[in-house]
Amino acid sequence: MQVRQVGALTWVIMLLVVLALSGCSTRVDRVGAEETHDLSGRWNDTDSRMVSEEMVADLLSRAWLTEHAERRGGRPTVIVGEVRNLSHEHINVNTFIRDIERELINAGRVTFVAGGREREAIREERADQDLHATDATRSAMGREIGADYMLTGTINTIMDVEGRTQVAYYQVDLALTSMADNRRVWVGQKKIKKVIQRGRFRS
Amino acid sequence: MNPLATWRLLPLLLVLVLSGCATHGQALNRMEGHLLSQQPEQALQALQPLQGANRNRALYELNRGMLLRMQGELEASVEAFEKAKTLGLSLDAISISESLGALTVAENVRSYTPDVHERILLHVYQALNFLELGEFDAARVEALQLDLALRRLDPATGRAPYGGDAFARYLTGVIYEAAGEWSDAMIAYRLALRTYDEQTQPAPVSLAARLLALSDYLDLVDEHAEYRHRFNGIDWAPIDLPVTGGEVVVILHNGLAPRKYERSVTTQSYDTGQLYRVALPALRRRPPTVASFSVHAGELQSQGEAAEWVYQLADSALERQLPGLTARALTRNVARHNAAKRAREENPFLGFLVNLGGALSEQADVRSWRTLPDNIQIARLRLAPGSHTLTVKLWDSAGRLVEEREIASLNLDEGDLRVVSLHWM
Repeated sequence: MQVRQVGALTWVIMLLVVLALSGCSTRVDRVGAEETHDLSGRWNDTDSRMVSEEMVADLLSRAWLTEHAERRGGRPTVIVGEVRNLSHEHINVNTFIRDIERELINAGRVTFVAGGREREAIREERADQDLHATDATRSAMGREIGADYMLTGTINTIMDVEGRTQVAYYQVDLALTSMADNRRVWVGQKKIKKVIQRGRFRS
Repeated sequence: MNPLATWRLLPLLLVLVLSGCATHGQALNRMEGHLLSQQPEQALQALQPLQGANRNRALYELNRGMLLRMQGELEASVEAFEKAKTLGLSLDAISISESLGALTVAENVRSYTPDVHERILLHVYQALNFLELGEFDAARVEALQLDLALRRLDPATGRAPYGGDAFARYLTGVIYEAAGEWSDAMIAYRLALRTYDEQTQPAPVSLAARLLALSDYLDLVDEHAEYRHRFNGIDWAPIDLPVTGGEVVVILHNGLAPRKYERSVTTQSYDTGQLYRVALPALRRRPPTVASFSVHAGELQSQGEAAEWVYQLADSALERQLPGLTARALTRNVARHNAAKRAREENPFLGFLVNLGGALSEQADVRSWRTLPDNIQIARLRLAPGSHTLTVKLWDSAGRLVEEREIASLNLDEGDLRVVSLHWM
């Protein structure tokens, strides 16, 4: 009887330990930017997608688009310039830029042109075609569409730490600038707050 | 001596013979041998067998990251250091099984968790990787992460309680300056100076020159006057905007950090034959052959200055750990005593085995990030735009030239910052 009691007690203790430890794993809650929290977490694909969708939707709903159509007619041509990562994390800015590009193109309201290294690669290919492709299939030089606007931005964070709880706040700022006269025609901002609680125990 | 006494002393003899056997350390010794012959590629190969051990995973990635850096594979080094960072963070949590193991079996059953100074230097080396790759925004991320890590240590001051952050802060100042973030650079330099002062280490003259220039530029009149008084005679140039010329920062990673070795005491109860063994780590510094260095570009030259004394940081870290290590070693002896006693009561031979096995399992935790340098030195040189050939000269303590290295075709534009590292074992 005594042996059975000890055995049962051991099982109860083990169960309590397992239950205690199972609640100690890392947990991340995404919360609204307006809520007050002193913590933040890591940037991931969901953030990248969410921010790009919301910011591009905002970009395409503003007055600059109709003003452009009235003033110059047709769809504006946009190029994505530099988006600087000024945050606490090594964020793959390229995937964020890709998300923005995808949203812009799929919306079908602006013409989108390649920039940066991609544009250089295309120009190299065109130069190569000049030498090696037939006249009928060759893409001529000097026929590129010049961008009307350039989209640039920054990703910033404010972090706070207290014990095993991390505090942070993301702010993504994007700006659309007219190539003709440096006018800022749109400025967008998206904020994300996250709470990360690091577990006290591990296996 | 009667036969029973001989039988009881047998475990002691076996422990003395067998405790010298090394396993994990052999691969690290081979790695170190290659490094001391200035052969990082072979050192990396020697490290490979340690890849599989989960509890040493962070240590493996730290060493791997450093060796990859040494052979110029900076992108791969970045990847290894990122893994080490992630592992290090996850190891902050307590493992009950490992803690129990450390109390009953041996200290080595714990996963390797980097010391505070190793964590700081991990950010430093990652930042240097990015600076040397010319990825300044990524280096700035590292500077912010370092600040966060230090604030985690001391939320009020954002400083490492036992030092080790002086050079790290200095480097973050360099990063902020490169980004034109003058006030952040000023704060970082200021924190660096405060740590040098608190650790009673001489601040590099190049740091003093930047404090003078930035306090002047930011119109911090009182602070500038204080620096002028303190650093009287130091040559400094005001900041002109737009910045003219470029700057080369050469960093010498000199020697190898102190190595941990085991110091043990084994004794035996004459009555019961019970073995008692305490094994603790100790540090052995390996003074580097190089004492100082200088950088030359045509007529211009800059003298290298000591910026971080890694061997002192390792020494101080071990000193803080020793009371805990000793307490756990004594606890393990009590646990082994009880286990062997119970086993002996059941069967004398089983008792003998438990006694012997327990004593043999008592080994000091001699793991450390062994590819860190003994010390870090820095030299800064302002150069006119254009192509430059840099020569780095390494000197021993007697002023004799040990090595001369040429860094050819360093192209500088206006406002450029180039960071060059030289690892010398």
